[in-house]
Amino acid sequence: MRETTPALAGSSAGHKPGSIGAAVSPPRARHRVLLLAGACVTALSHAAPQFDTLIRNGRIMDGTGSPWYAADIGVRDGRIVAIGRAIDGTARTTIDAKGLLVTPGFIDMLGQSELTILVEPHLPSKIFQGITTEVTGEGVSVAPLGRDPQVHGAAGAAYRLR
Amino acid sequence: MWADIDIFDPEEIRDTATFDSPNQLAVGMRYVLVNGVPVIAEGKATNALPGQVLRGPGANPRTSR
Repeated sequence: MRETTPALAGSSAGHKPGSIGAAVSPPRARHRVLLLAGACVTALSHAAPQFDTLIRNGRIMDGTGSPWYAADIGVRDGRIVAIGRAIDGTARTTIDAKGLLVTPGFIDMLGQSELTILVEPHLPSKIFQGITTEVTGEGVSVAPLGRDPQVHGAAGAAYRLR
Repeated sequence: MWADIDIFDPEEIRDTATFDSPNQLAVGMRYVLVNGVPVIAEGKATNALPGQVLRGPGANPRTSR
């Protein structure tokens, strides 16, 4: 997250303040192909929006302990591709986050949803807390880790869920 | 950076579960994005499943212990 602070985004060569922020990370080869494909689609259809989602007017709290700052966030192909003030661009979906905190999804370092997720794959108990990543399967796992399927396999999971 | 993002008012975040009624969801998340896809939008579940399994070294028998 550090490379996306406004100071760095603003200091990025070739970007004037208020333009789209610095690219967050160098795209991998696969990603580059996707971008190329995206560019072709854009060339064919002028209406193709620049972002899938644009979060406007939010208070960004980046999780480093720094105070919040006002900025927009542009999301495309699953990634944060721009952070900056008053990002100029079109988006499929725009979220007005005025007065709201915009934070990284929370990480549950030991959540133990490994059985729950079989019953409720959307895991509402976690996402409604803002948890987007969970370390799970510690101690007990539904994966067949051992030789005894009654303990470690699906039968073990079914037993525990009874 | 993969776009896992929460959007909320910290004053609205509340735990509604009680000892008598433990299976109650927390309230207050306006939007939650996983890999850029909203799983909560305007406070409601979208039922999207954009998550991915992130495997650690333990997932590979050669690298686990």
